Amino acid sequence: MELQIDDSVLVKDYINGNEKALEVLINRHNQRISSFIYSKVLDRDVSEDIFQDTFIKVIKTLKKGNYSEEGKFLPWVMRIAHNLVIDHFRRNKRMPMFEGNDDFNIFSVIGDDKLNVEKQLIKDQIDSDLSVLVEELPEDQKEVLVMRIYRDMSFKEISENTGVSINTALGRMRYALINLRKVIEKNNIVLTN
Amino acid sequence: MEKIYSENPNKCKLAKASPETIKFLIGYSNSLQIIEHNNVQFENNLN
Repeated sequence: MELQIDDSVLVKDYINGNEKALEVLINRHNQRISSFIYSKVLDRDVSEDIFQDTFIKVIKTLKKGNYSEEGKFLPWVMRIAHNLVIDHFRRNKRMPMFEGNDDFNIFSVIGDDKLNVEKQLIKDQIDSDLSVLVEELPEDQKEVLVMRIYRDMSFKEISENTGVSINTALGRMRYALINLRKVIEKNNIVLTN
Repeated sequence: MEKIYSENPNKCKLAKASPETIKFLIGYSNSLQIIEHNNVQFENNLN
């Protein structure tokens, strides 16, 4: 049978410099204190934070010699935890934490839609590779593709500018894309972000 | 009328602080020193 050292003895040991005694105390009461905190806040992360803050207070009080030993270590720690739980709710009342749900996430509204540096570099590389490939196209196809993609012109505008019918412009665009794909496949070029 | 007790389950679930938190607390305790000077206590964290 394993003999359990009393809390009061462990507290004394800890005050006298035995750091191992604290570990025993924390592990011994971990579940009771954590469950107590969790039953109030119902959030694992907040519960973990309050548990940590509770023992930081315990450690400071014991090391400063401000703890009066009356053989009631656990109720004392529970009282600290209880006060910290109250502090947590007071703080949240003053400054409620907004949490998004499945339908609405605040970060989708305030989020930055710019690409990060890595993705921007990849995009620049792809754009530059693509412009080299476009240069390989026959002149008439290149002309239509540039007008459509880079200048965002409609096929009606392209037709007016090049002096060909809309159908011809559409056909040139189609062949431009087919030829681009062929070059990309032939040279095993990867153009994905 | 019959009372359905299962509708209001006990919210007190068993929870445990993670080993990381305990490790942190032990580390914190090890590094914390209380220095007293002129009846004033100072916290010194030797990290």
